[in-house]
Amino acid sequence: MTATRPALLASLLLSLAAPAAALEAPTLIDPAEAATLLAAEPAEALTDGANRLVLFDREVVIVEDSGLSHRHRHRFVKVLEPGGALALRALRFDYDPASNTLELRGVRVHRADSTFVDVPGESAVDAAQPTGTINWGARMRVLGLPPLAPGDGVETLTYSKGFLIAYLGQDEPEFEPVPSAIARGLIDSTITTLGAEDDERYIPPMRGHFYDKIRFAENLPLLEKRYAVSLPKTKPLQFSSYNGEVQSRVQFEGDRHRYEFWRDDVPAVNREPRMPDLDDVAPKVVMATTEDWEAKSRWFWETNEWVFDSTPEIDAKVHEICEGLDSDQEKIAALNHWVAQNIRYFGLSMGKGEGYTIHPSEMTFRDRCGVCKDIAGMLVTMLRSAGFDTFGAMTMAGARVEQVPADQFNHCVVALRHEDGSFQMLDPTWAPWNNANWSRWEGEQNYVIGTPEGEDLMIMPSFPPTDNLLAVESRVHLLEDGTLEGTLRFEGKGIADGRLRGIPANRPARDIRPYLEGWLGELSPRVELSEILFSDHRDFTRDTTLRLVYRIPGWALDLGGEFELLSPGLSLLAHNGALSRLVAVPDGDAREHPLFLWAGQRIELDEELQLPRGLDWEEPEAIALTESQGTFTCDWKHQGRKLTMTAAMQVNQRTIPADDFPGLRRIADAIEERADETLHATR
Amino acid sequence: MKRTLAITLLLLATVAGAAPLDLADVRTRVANAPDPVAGDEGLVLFEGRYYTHEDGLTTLRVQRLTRVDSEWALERVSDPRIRFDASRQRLDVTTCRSYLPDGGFVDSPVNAFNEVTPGALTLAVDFLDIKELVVTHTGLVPGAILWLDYTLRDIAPAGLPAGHLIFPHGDFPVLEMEIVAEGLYGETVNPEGGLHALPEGEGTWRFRELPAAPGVVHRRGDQLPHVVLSPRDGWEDVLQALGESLEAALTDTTGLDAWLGRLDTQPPFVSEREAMEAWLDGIESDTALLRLDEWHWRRAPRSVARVLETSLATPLERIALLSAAMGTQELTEHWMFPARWRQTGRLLASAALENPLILVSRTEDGPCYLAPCTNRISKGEQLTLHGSFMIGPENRRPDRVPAHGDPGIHIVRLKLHWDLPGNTWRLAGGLSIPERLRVNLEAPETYLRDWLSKDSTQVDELRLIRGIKQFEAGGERPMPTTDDEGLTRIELSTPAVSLAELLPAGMNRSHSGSQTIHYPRQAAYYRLTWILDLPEDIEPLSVTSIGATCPGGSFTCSRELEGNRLTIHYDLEHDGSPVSPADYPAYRDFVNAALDPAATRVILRPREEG
Repeated sequence: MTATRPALLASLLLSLAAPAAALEAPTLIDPAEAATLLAAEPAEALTDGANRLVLFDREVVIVEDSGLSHRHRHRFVKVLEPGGALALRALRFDYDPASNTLELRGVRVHRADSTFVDVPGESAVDAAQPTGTINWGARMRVLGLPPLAPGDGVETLTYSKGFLIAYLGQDEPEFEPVPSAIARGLIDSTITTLGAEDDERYIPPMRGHFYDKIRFAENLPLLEKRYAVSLPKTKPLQFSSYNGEVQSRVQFEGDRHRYEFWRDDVPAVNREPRMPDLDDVAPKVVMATTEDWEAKSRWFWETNEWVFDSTPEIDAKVHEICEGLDSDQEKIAALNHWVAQNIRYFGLSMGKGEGYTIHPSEMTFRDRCGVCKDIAGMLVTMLRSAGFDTFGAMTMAGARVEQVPADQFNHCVVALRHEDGSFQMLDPTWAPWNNANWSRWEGEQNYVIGTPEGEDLMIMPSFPPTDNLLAVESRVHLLEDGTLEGTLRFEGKGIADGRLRGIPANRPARDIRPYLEGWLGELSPRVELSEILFSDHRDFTRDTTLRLVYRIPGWALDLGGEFELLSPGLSLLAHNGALSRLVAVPDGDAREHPLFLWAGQRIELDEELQLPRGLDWEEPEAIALTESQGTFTCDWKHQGRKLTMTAAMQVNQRTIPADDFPGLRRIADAIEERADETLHATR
Repeated sequence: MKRTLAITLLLLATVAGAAPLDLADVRTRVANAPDPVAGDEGLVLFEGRYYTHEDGLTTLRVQRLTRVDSEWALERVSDPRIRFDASRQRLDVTTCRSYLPDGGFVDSPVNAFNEVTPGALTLAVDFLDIKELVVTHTGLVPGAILWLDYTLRDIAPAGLPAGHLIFPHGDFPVLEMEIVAEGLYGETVNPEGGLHALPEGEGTWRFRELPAAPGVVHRRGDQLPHVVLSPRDGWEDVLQALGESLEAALTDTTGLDAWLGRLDTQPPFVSEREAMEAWLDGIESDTALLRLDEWHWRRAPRSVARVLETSLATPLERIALLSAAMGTQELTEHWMFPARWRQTGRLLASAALENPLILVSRTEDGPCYLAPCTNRISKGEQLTLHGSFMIGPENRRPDRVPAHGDPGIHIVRLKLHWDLPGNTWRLAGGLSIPERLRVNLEAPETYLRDWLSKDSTQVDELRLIRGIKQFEAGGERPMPTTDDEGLTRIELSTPAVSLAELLPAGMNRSHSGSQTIHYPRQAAYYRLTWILDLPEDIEPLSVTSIGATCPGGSFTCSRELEGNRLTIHYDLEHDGSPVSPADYPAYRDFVNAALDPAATRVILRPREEG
């Protein structure tokens, strides 16, 4: 095949697909131009050790009146290091046959010596995508490339038609997703009535509308990133850029408007441990033709209202669950937890509309499984059956939703409207083995409720750290030979409740003891755990408690009748990531990005250490350390042989600004230092 | 009692002879299922595996009836993934049904069967016809009984002899299980000293009332009995076929010269060792390693040419590529397949041996092993390969390294005399290091010097009399400073190889019990003596002795004070014998005592008047 044929073919196909577009579809670049691009030495500051460099990433989108979009992506990546060559041994292109098409219109390997090889798109293998708990029939095309070497480049040109359900889209398959990306569920947008015509299924669910969210930074350095979209002029596009500057312009082209966005010389995103979702830090443009969130809200309500029909079986189950419960809040909690515990998270496709349509509750009740939207739908139906005014709501777990009313959601929840018009939010998907009706991992989270009146974008409040209080009571007796005998009692709220409840819930009974011995083994491998007592982990009317009775021979260092020892309670909390969010604070002096911990937390430790007769404590100095995002206080009172420690450790909120990180790190360091510092008992 | 009765009823109700159940049988078993036993997460009421092998093609029918009694169990079994090779197999699910506690049942709807690609294959173009069928049981509640009945049928033979490993002990107890293998060779492997044992079978195996396997934290290696099925009568035949497939992969080496040219490994400018390192580095950087459990072992390795073309290699294909490279320099090699477990039988289910090696017998540095999956070169004596399979360089004859080799004994004898007032020390000692640890001692003098130089110790003299086996050293070491309490703390550094080497692989010292056998890495014999001459105004805080014993081992750390001389004897012996679950608590106490920092800590204080 000659170098120009794919381009001609591409133009021809495009002209058939979207005759009205003034914006032209891209074609493969001239090999000489490719050679020039490959030969140019990029600035070291830009590449900074990367094994590949994106020479350009250009996207052209042409939108029809119906909202149907034709998307051309043209990308040219240069191999800098052998690791980059290996990463490009094959290319993966994802698509979902239910909502979009994919054509590989040109794949060309440009060699460092200016020769090139065209790789036929037809040789790509079409296969089902790997799945976890969502099995909706998404597919991929995988195209093997000839071996590459540093200096080579890979140019790809793809065309797709339709829309992509948000959590089936993966721009960067090799990119390690942040937690929100694997957070449960999604409501992309809407429902559509699918017609007989082929293209109907590719028209976005909110017919006639268009939205997009484009990042202008990625895992690789970029020399050029450009995005252009052409829309009928009757569909004005509102847009805004976030997290950094992106150049833009709008052009009038007859009966269409062209919007262009670009950014040059973009370094790779600096990956830091526990950084926020990429959407919250990488420069991006969010755009939508939708007028406002209220319109989106009304549309969501109209689209899904039919799925909440109850059945006699559902009504009977609701009656059974609520029987004997007096207050509304008791009923709400009981129904929320019933759904959470009985509709397991596993997504099966219902065919048309899957991914953006809630399964009818009759189906979910029968299948006893679904993703977040189906689980939320089940709760909406059951609450309605119990007489509550409830709605589905779209939300984004783990990242912001910007003010531009484009779909930016990955999760679906429930809104219950009280008589005074206020809403109470419920999330059954995140409630399994958690006491809270709205998970405390989901503070400061944006959402849009689907109602007939239309609702604006809202946000959950920031939950105080005391919502996730972990109260630890430690009682310790030291024996004459330095052996410690102790009890530890934990009581958790919010996320701490979930962590404790999860211990018996998420493993077989026979693995609980070794797991907890692993906890105490961090104090000493000689630990002897004699009693484990959990509260009923299936009882969601109370916070979870755990009591451990244990013994550690040789805990205290015998200094000839006097002793040196550590506080077991503080030592445990200073190093146990399951118990303390402060343990999740990464090392380091400074950060570029905020620290994203998902939740603040307060831990209160009340410890009594009792010595053998004849010994007395040297009272340690109290600690009171306060930083902008956390505190550590530790006070001591001693009375004869008894030393009482009252300590509090706190991280204030779920997102720690980068400037505040060093202060929080100082808090974590101070806790570790105090935990590792010995207490002294003298005669 | 209830369970026994139920079994009796079941057996009466069951037609004699091994045959797949029909739905009427299933309903009977569901109706007669014994009541849940407290603490059980679930129960396998029946599992049947029916193999027929003819003309190189295997048909397997699997039936499994499982009750889930907890939410954890429900999540564990609700969505099984059945892997198959669509290029040569057909998978048919006959029934996927959930029997509910209320007496009804739910058949999984069409959308509950989803064919997907295993995640590891995403960029493996040549392997994308290996698929998984995700089968979802719907309508599940705790107490439900899941029935799954499917058939996996070969329509073309596997590239390599494809056998089967069946571990009857799993997450849940098993009420009844039967395995029927026609046309396959079978063997029951009951590991020596294992916790459970299975009866022998000949073509048919029937098991009843099997307890659950130990919890995940206690499940190690092949300590559970298993049944091996193979289309070949003996491991030699399997290895023979493997060798032939590797030879076939070496017939097309298009692209090899260009690849080697880029690596620049031609003599005489590089040594053999450098060339081998370059080949391994080249394999590491130019081929992505594809691991897909045992499935890629059922496929013959692709040609070297295709491996280079796709920049992707299975472990076997990496062996082929490395072999091809070595062939260009006429280096002869054995292909080595380290045994996965301590005990294997006569049969080999498949060549499922994860990290194949190449043994190069004659190099400038003596024999060495090249590991193309981990990019390492090891000298011959550094690896424990007892029980490993090998294919020789001449006629590619299968062979096997003798099993149960002696891992050796770790002997440490040290006597250190430290004159604290004089700031001088002298040491005499010797180490006898087992093969496995010698990698740490390639440069013994440097190693000893580094060890002795800790804690402000100055090494003025180091004399290796018989190498590492006998040496003497001396130098200066200042008296440590006293702390705020007026105490002087000394940590006596343990010998050249860490005491933590005592620990069996996978042992967690904080676990109070064990449901598995632990294997100490080798026998150990330590005789350490520290003699500390103290200043007159200083005395040790304590001269108490500690110790612990266990079957096969003893440990004491005694202290004696005579005048100003403190002598500490650290004596440890263990014969290296396996530690049974019953012996585990004593063994745990033994190693915890030996590894307790208090054993090697000396605290000095000002001598009290009078």
